[in-house]
Amino acid sequence: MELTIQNISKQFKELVAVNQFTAELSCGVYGLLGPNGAGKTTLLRMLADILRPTSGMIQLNGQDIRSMGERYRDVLGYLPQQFGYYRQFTGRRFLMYIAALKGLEKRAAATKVEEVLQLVGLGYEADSKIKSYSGGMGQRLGIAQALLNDPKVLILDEPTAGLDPTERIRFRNILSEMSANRIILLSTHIVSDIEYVAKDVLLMKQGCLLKQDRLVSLLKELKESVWKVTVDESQLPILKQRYKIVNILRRDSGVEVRILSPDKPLLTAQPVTAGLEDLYLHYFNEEIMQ
Amino acid sequence: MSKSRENKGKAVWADDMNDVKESEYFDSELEAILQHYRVELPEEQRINTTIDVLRQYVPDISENPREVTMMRYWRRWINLWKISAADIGMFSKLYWMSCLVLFGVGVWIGVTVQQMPAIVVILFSPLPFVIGLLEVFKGREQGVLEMELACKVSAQELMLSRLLFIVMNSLILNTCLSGLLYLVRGDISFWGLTWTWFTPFIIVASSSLWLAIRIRCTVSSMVTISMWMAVGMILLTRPDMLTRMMHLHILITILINAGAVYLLIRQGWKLLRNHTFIAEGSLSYGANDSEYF
Amino acid sequence: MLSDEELITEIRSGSQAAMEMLVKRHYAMIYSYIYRKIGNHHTAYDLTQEVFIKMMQSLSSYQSHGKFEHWLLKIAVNHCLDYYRSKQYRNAHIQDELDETIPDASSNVWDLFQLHDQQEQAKQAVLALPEHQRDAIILNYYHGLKIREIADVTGANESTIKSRIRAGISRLKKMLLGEEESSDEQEQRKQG
Repeated sequence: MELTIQNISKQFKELVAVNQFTAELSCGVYGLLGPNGAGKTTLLRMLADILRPTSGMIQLNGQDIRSMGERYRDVLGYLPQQFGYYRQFTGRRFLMYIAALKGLEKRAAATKVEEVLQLVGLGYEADSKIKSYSGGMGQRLGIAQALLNDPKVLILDEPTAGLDPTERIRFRNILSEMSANRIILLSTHIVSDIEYVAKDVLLMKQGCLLKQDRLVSLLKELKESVWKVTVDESQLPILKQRYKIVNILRRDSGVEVRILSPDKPLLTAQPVTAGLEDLYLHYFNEEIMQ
Repeated sequence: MSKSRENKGKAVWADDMNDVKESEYFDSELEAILQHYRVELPEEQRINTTIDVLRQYVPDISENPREVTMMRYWRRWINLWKISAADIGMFSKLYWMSCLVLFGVGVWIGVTVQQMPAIVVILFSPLPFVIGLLEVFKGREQGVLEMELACKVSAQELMLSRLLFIVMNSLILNTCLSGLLYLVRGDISFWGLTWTWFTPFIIVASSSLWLAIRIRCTVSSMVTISMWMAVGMILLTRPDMLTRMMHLHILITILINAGAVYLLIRQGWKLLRNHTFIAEGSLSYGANDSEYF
Repeated sequence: MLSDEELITEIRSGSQAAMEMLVKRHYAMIYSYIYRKIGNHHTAYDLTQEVFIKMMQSLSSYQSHGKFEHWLLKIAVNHCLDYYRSKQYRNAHIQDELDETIPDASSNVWDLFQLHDQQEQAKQAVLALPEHQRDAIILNYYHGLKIREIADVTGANESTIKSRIRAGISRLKKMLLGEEESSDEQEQRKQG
């Protein structure tokens, strides 16, 4: 399985949402990271063949997905960033509806729907109306529908939004299991989603691909640049002015600050191992949102 | 294939090698050793990878336009009806209730009110359709569209099939209403009544579809219904206008009808082909996407 | 169950599913032929893929003369021939280029009888056969093809096939059984 993204661009009137994005994806999990407005959703929509690029081409195993048409959708699973439901439907009925749209036969659909419900942990609530679902349950239902046709290409736009930490871990495990012979691309702000499962991380800013590399390699760049230091509350404003602060923890002994800086900021500062949040700040100059 | 060893050894040779000496056969000793050269097939995953590579060599039907076009359209048409049939269960209760209510009201007014039965039929004929449009576009409205678009049965085919159903249903309802009124009242002709409601129906249907594609459906439906009500009010208070309209030269009526039917079909076609248009149009409304604005 | 010809008709009209079925149906046959011919899993996998690609590319000109399986095997046989003649192969195997001259059975394969692993024994023996004999033996013994069919698939005439098989069997016997005799004789001599 190879998804080749060649020089994809998308322009809406004067706004260039995606700018000459090029990448090659093979089986495994890929994390798409970037701030709001970076063009992630637009890119993912193009990969799901919902939006036509203004220029460039996307190929699956050497074939243009546009000309593949429904054959591409046959192997595609997509979870949009924002979505609704037919609220009067039960979870199960909704999935049966989507299964029908995905071309599954009734009997196969029933089995698959049950399987997928169990996978996302909605077995009990399957026969309640969707309007009674919590946000997390709704999100899980969305993930479930993307898996119905056993997709070879799985595109997920912020799939863990609204999930609590346990659910997120469960989700991560599901992905990890599935990633052996599938291409999975997910956009996220949440560190734990990709920290242990992602093959490569793609950093996107203002429609462009900044970097695509293994997380480990990207973090190596920040090797000597992340520090931890405990200071007094009063010193905080100065630090904020001079350095990039990744996060602040208030402890009994003082305020523990995590700083991103190529040189040692203070004598008492200790170097620490770089993590995804540091990477995010480094590239995007803003804090990663949790 | 080493499993099918029925014709191994001597049996084979007997047919083909009449002149071969005994010592030249695959004797059992040799066979005993040779059979150990077994083959371990690659994992299913790897075989599937090969299959994936082969997919691009499967001919694309659109490469043979002439031969397959007619079949394709026919197949598509049948497919739409299939989808429609399967999808009927998905229509909301609101739609069915409205149809029933409208029908009931139509019958009641038509039977009780003495004059102008035609006006009843005229006023009510487009309403089931306009309400039906809500069903057609409900995916877009309720935010399910984006999920539906990524499915094999494209959302636009789905919309089109619903549209077909709505049209059929409206036609049936209106015909039944006319039929009922004809039977109950002796003073009108069935065909006259049918002809009377068909024109406003087709005009309103095509224009409301045109509108619904371009702007949010709930809005467009409301706009259409209110405008239609306004027209209805005017006609009720000015019966002479109505009479004049109804007695328009038949040729003009045919032209208007044909034009409206054409518009309806074109809009339906647009619905089917231009899915990005729908997607972009509705995505701007459906999803609050700060990346666009 | 759909016949091969029916599947091909489906593929010609663009059915991916039919392609999948056809490939899965015949994958084992092609892979096992190539693997026994080449002796290496990775190469066999790649060559099998190439054979199927060739199959897909020639499907439009396929006419149902005789069995589809044999047509497919023909592609495989020819593809392996091309592989052996290719620069790629030659460069990788300069040392042990196969030739038709009969090697001295006792010197080339002296360690065969020492291989306790019977799988290895059989494998090395078959691989030590010259190319055409190997083909004939594999197709006849492991795939159960008749002389006539092998002639069709390899493009040689029946008597040539017969002699290749005869020679192949003879050589195999020398390698696998002949050596045992001499070691037996040795044993007997040892025991005096």
